[in-house]
Amino acid sequence: MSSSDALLELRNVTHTYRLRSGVSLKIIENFSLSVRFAEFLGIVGPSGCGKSTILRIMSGLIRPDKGHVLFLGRPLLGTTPRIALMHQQPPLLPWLTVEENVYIALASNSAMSEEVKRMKVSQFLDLVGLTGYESAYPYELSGGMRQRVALARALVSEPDLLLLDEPFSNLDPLTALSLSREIEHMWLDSTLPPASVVMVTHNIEEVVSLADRVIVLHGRPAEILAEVPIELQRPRSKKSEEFYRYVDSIFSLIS
Amino acid sequence: MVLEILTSLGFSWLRLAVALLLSIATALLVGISAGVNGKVERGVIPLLDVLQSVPILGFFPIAIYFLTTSIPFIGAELAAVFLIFTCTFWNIAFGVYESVRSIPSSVREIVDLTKLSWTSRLTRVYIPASIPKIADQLPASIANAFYFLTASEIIVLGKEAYALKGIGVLILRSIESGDIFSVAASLAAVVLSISAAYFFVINPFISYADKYRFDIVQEHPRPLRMASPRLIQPIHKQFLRPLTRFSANAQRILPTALISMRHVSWGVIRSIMMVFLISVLFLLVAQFYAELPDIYATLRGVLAAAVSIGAIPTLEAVGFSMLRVAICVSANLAASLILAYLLAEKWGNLREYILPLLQIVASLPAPLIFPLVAPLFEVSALTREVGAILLMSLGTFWYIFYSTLGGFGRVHREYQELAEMYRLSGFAKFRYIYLPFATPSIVTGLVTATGGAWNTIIVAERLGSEGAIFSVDSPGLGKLMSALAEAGELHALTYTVIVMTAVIVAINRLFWRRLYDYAVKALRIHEQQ
Repeated sequence: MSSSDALLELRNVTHTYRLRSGVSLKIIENFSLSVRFAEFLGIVGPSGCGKSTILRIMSGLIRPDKGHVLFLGRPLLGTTPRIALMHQQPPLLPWLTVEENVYIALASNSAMSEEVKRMKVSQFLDLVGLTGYESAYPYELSGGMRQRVALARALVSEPDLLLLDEPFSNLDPLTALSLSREIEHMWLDSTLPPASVVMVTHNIEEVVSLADRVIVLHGRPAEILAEVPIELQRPRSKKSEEFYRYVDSIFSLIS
Repeated sequence: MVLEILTSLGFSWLRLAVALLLSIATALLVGISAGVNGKVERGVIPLLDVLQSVPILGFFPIAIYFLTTSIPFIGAELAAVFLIFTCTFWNIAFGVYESVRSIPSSVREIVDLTKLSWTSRLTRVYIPASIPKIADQLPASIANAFYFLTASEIIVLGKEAYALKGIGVLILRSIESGDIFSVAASLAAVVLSISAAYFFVINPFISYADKYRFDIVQEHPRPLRMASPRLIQPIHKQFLRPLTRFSANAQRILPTALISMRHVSWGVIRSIMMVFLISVLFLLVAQFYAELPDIYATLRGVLAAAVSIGAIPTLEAVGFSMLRVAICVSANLAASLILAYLLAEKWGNLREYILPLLQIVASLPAPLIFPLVAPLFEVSALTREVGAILLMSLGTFWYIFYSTLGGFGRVHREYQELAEMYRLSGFAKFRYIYLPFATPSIVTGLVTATGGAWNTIIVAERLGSEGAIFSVDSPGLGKLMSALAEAGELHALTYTVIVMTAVIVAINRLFWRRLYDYAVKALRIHEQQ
C-alpha cells in the first residue's frame, strides 16, 4: 500500500501498559496500518486483543511508546478536531442539555464565532434527527437518541476521520441498524463529514455490511491475521449469499 | 530526653491507633446497618448528624465523668481514647454509609439472588465496598486527631486536671518552660513518626483500597490516588532503597493480612461486640440510676447558667463566630478547588511529592505550634482575626481538600478522554466536567468542614492559658467556651456546647441539606450510575 493515499498511518507502533500490579502488557508491537482516504475500515478481533488501544492511538489520546502516527503525512502529536471518536457508551454530561453537550466539541475553537457555533450545533442535531430535543437532558433520552447526540458531537467539528468504538453494541438491533445506515449515508455524502471511518466491533455482520476493508486481529501483542476487502455493492443486503460467504470467512478466521 | 520523647510519642500513637481501629470497626457496624436497613437508617443517620456536631470539648464532661468514676485506673486513658475517637469517627461512618448506599443496584440484586449469608455479605460485599471511602477519609481523621492532640491528653476542668503521658503534653510543657530545643525535637519526632506511619501503613492501605473501587476501569490506568511517598527517594536513593523495599513488602503483606482477617469467623466478632455493647449499656444504666439526683441538679445548673449568660451575648457570640466560620470555609473551599484541580490535572507528576507533604502538614498539631508564631499576629485587632481564621483553617482545610480531590478522582476515564478529544481549555474542563462531577463529594466535605470549623473556634478564638493568651478582640462562642472550660464552669460550658450543637445542626438542616438536594437535582447525578 503506498502512503500517498493514506489519511492516517501507523508505522511500526509499539505500546505497553504497565498495570498497577507491576505487570507489563505489550498490547501491540511493530504494528503498521493505513487508513485510506474515503475508506470505511473495519477492525475485528477477539476481546482484549488491543482494538480499543489502536483506536485511541489513532485518535491521539494515547501516544505510543515507539513508532510513528502520521495524519495527512504529518506526525500526530495529540488530539485534533479533525479526528473524532465515538464510544460504545457515549459519555454525555448529565448536567448539560443536548445542545450544550454538542456545543462542548466547539467550545474551545476560538477561531469560530458564537453565532456560527450555534448554527453548526443545530445543523448537526438536525442531521442526526434530534431537532426539537435541543433543550432535553440526556436522562430524558433513549439509548439510541443518546448515541445520536454523541454522533452529532463527534461530527460537529467536521472531522476528516471518524473513529467508532463498538458504536452499536449497546443498542437494540433496530436502532443499531438505522443508526449504522445514517453513518453510512453521511460517510458516502462527500459534502458531509467524515471522509473516512474506522470502526472497531465484535459484530461480523455489522462490519461486512459497512466496511470496504476488514482487518482481522489476533493475539497479544496484536497482529494482523488477515485483511479482507469487501467487494459488495452498496446498499448491501444481508440476505445475499455473497454477504454470508464474507461473514463465514471472517468468522472462521477469528474462531 | 530522647527516651521521654519516644515513650510519650509511643503513648500518643497507641491511643490514636486504638481510637482509629475502634472508629473503623464502629463505623463499619453503624454505617453498614444504616446503609442496608431503612429503619436503622432513619434512626441512626440524624443521630450521627447531631452527635458529629457536638464539639470535642462537649464530650469532655461525659467522658471524664463516666470513665474516670467507673474505671479508676485506666479511666483517664479510656477518656482520652474516647475523645480521639470523637475526632476520627464521624467522617468514616458517613463514608461507610455512603459506600453501602452507592453499591450498584446490579450488585445488590446479585447479593439478593444468590442468598448470600450475612457473614459473606459483610466480608464479600459491604466491607470491601466501604474500604475505598475509609481510605479516602483516613488522612482527614488522622489530621483532626492531631489537631486536638493536646486537648485529648490534657483534660482540664477547673481544679481537676488529668495530664496523660503523651507527646502533646510533652510539647506543651516544653513550651511553658521555654525549652525550645525540646519543642523542636518533639515536633521533629512527630513529623518523622507521621511520615513513617504514612509510608509503611497508611499509604499501602490506600493503594490497596483502590482494588475495591467499583468505578475504576483497569484498561487505561490513570491513577489519581495517592502513591507511596517518593518525596525523599531521589535525594538519598542509596540510603532509602532498603526502606522502599520494606514499603513494597508491606504493600504485599498487608492485603494478605486483611484477606486472612476476612476469614475470622463473623460469629466470634459478633459475640465480642454483643458482650461489649451489653456491658457498656449496663454501665450507663447503672450510673444513671446512681446519679439521678445529680443529673437533676446539673439540668438546673445549666438552665441557671443560660439565664445568667443571657440571650443577647449568646447571639452576639454566635454571630461573630458564624462570620469567622463562613470566611474560613469559603476561603478554604477556594484554595481546595484550585489546589485539587491543579493536582488532578496539571501537576500529575508532582502529586507524589505534594500529597505526602500535605499529609504531614495536616497532621501537625496546629494549636500547639501556633503560640510560636502568634506574636506575628499580635499587631492589631484585624491581624488577630486573620490569625484566628488561619488557625481554624488548619483544622478545616483537609476535609474540603480531600473530598474535593476524591471527587475529582471519580471523574470517569471516558469523560477525561472527552475533554482531551475536544481539547477543552483548563477552565472549560473544570466548569463542565470536574466541578459538576465532584459537587456531591465537595458538599459532603463542606458539611464536615463547617462542623470542624465550629469545633476549632474553641482553640482558635482563644488559645493558651493564664500566661500567654492569643485571643480575638470581638466576641465569639469559642472564646466564651474556652474561658468557661478554663474556669471550670461546667454548667455554663454545657450550655454553650448545646448552643453550638444546635447552631451546627441548624446550618446542616437549613443550608447544606438543601444545597445538596438542589445540586443533585440540578446536576441530574442520579443518571450517572
